[in-house]
Amino acid sequence: MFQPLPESPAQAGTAPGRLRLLMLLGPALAIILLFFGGGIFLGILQALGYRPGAGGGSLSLSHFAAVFTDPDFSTSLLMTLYIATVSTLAAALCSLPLALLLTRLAATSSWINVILQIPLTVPHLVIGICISLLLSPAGLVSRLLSWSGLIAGPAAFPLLVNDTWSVGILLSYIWKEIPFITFMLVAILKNSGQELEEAAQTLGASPWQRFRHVTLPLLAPNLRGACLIVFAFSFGAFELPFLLGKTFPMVLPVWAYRNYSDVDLMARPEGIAIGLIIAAVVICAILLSQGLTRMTSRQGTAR
Amino acid sequence: MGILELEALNVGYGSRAIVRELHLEVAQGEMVALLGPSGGGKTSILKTIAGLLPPLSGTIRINGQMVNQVAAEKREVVLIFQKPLLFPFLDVGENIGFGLRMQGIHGARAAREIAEMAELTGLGGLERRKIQQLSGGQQQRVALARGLVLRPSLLLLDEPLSNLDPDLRQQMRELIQAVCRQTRTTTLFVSHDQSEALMLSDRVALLLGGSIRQLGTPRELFYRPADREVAAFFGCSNLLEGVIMDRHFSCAGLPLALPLPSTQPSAQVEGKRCIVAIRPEQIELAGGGADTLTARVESLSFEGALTRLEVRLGSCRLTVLSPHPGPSPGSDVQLAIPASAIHVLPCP
Repeated sequence: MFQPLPESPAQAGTAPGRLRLLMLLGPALAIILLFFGGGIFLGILQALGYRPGAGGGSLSLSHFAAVFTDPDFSTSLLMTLYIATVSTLAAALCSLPLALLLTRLAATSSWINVILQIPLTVPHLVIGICISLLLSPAGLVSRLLSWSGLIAGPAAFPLLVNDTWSVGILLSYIWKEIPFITFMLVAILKNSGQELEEAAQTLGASPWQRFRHVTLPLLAPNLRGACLIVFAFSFGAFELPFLLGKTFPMVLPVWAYRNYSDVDLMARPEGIAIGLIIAAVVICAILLSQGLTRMTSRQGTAR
Repeated sequence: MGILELEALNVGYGSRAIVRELHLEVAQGEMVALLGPSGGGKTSILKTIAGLLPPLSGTIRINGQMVNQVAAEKREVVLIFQKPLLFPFLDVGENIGFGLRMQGIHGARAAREIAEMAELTGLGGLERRKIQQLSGGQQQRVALARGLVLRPSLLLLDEPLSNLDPDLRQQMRELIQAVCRQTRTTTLFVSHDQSEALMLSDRVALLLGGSIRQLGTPRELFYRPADREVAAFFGCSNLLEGVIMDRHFSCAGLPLALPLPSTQPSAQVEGKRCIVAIRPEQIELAGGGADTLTARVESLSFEGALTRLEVRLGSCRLTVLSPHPGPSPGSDVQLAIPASAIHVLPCP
């Protein structure tokens, strides 16, 4: 007689399966809980006014209130949102065609891949300094243009660093993030993109229809994920705006840093409060994106 | 309506031809198998007919119209791949209706055709399922339904059964045959599995070494191979070289001349050196008698329904497939080789 096979121990429902899952997740969970959770917890405490060096102090929301009522807060928030949104969208718009091109050129793309990997390895700080050396009014580009007579003099060169529209910051972010998003998309396209497109083609889909109804929905989850990561990073990053931004308005991370490193220790809780507000905005963005995804997929099945 | 004509078609990548000078006609409603070993360029032929791969030279005609320059999406040819290649972001019904949607067919008409095709392929009631919730066989059926719903002039199948387990494969074979017959769809399918090709198709084209070696009904290829390689492909390992005299085949190693079947026209072969092929399962183990030959069993392997015997007959070695698992190695057996088992390969 045949006996039913014993269930595999890896199945999540069974007790040994759950134990194994915990053991596998354990190290990562411990680090996240200890450093990230602990850090957030201490941050919240300090932002609420807890001062370990000065005998505790009372807890209140006054520091948050001070940040929110600061007349410069909304300008800073908008500035930060502007940089993060524009750089993310621009990088995404450049990455999509690039990823499609790279998949088409599968055979010849190895050197393009190498070039694309360069921005991934260069730190933001280095890019910031490079952009500053290249694009500042006394920078290399400006001097080359005036030397060759294309512009009247360095003064005629448009302001691209420490400027109102943060062109320098945007360019650095876009340069740095394009390869990241592109590689996220190429992975999907290499895996099944071309075959699915061929299947769609024999089902009568024109090139535009294949892009609209096959490639785009296939890439959507990864594109959305990559954009969220890029947005969250550029919303919370400090180096590039610090190097290439104007002194006013400051982006939120720079403002947080200024407060945190102020000689006046009383400014420190406000700096931490700004840091927490940055985190809250990013979490809101993630929730919003998930909500949108769910809405569009429901519309998809309703059709 | 769907008639396919291939003329002097060269298929390959870059400048390297994998398949040369392909001539093939598939009639309306006919089911033709392209049979051949893996890696022989069969998939490339289908891709070329579908328009996914440009032909190196030659012409492809569909319903009399040359389509060499026509884009794949305008050819009314559906290619079903070895993998189901379903769209993971669409459910079963949306996958089946994908092609209709691309043609701008929406609403009640699309819904009716999707439901009809789902029913025909045994997917009724699964239209709202996610692709990831389906078994391999169900996914392959969705792929079939997705193609057939467009009522293509020509259906191309690229080993659609090779990823399925044997039970499911048999079911799918019957399904494909039934659906294609019912919809009168002209079908060209590719397989490396001879039983699949023989069972499903009206005609088989055997592709060996980059060209069609023989084209004919399944029975013709199996019982009347055109040359020794075709015979060997279908498992006929008994190829004997000898002379034909008075409608009898004699060969140096054989103690007895074998009579030719009455169907064999004798004029071309009389008095010539020829090769005959004898199918191993047509050699019978007999109890003894006038026309039997005594042979020594050299080795034996039990293969289930049949037992494979390697026997020595005079100086010839023959393979016999017998339903009797009885004899043991070293023993003598009596063989009867009926005239109908002998096929004279066309003389060079």
